[in-house]
Amino acid sequence: MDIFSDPSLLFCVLLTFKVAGAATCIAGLLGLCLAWRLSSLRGWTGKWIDALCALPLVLPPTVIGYCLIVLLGRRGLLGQWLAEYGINLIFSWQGAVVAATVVIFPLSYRSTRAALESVDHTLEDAARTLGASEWRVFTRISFPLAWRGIFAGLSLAFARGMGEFGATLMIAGNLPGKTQTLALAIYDAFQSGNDNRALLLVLLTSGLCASLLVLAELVGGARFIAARGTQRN
Amino acid sequence: MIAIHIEHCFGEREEAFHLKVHFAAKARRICFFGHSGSGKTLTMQAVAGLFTPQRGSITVNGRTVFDSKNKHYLPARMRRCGCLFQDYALFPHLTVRENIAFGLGKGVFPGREMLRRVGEMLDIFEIRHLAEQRPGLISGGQKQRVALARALAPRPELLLLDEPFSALDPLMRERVRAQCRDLLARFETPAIIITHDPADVALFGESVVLFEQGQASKPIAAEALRQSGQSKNELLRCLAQSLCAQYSPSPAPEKTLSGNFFEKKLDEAGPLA
Repeated sequence: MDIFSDPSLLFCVLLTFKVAGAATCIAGLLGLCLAWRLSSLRGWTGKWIDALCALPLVLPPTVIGYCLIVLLGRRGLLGQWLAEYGINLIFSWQGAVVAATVVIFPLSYRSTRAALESVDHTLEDAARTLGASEWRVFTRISFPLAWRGIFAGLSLAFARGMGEFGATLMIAGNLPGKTQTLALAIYDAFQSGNDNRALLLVLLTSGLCASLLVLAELVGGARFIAARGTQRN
Repeated sequence: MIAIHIEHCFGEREEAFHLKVHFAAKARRICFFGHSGSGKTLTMQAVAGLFTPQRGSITVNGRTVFDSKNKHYLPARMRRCGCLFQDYALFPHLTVRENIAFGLGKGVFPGREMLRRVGEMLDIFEIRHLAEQRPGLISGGQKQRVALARALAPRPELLLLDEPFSALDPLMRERVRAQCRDLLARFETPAIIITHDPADVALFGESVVLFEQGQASKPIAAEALRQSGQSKNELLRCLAQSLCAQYSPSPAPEKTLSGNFFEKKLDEAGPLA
């Protein structure tokens, strides 16, 4: 069986990439902003925000899905407001993006923060004494030195986003040709007894995710070699 | 002209570390001399704006950069203090040229004045052949010259050198030290040199401030120290004597002269003026 001969299969793969890609972009940007602004925050405020950001990592996906429906549903707090502008996130691929974003946000935030904190603070101080504003310190020093770590973390988030199931099912449903991503298609195929299709989808998903992780490892690994090279002189 | 009056307390009760620095100095080259952990680097960071003390004020060349009473706090980027960090802190992802240019402009495209200044620094510090290299590939002495060039390029009002030679091996240290002094002599910029090596004091200092357990002495003219003793050991002893004279008005204790002068607790010797 060839995936390109089966339009529904191709649609699944493309939708999965679209959803995971959009979610990674949003979560990555949010994570970057938050990690940058919060890196100087110590004490209880910082700890609470940290814990709150990690919450989607430990909560069952059903809880996240439920919260999102309460928030974004037709009668939801944000949903009513969005409906006035004609935006409906429930049972749409955009809804799947929102679900995936919430689920992978902790991964992006944590890895971004770790990467930014691994940058030698003396370098940032040196930049400050040379007259650089906080924004310039970030764009010229912190980010260029941390981007490999951030990229590795985002690859992981992307791979996780591709496999997002629970929250997506609740908020976007499982509509073939509309919101059915790879993970949902596997469930669908398995439930309807189409074992061959399920196996193919499982192999496809595993292969895609594995190659993503290898890519992340390659880029992240290069960072450590580069860091060692500069420090050992 | 620099006047530092700062106080800061770390930790609680007995284990607390009190930083208490009160002095004013006019000399162009001032040495902060003392053991590791005596508060020299912290004082330097307070001057540069990288550390905010709880109380006090700092005035550099008549400009108040920090005053806790008036809640006046100038951020590091506006203090115009060039810093030479202990491990030089060169930006590893930028070339030597980009490192030196970093403090000169905010724009993406370099102006003519900026290019001229970078070229001038490359020539003065004899690092033009390294201009396109990254800091990871050059030697310790070269790194120091690059760091010095980078700190001096934006024409700072004050240069702060934090143990500038401690990262070098002893063989190299002597040579780089002499080089560094000759290079600094070409700039009018006043400098504070932080060190625990009496040789640095002998070569650089016009005025010495002694640090011990978070407290600083009044500045001592280094010329007097230099005349009374030529060798390093003698200089060290002179520094010890001055330290004792500062803190104990009673006849100079012989015990401290025979060595271990730092064992004497400064806070036992009475409050600082």
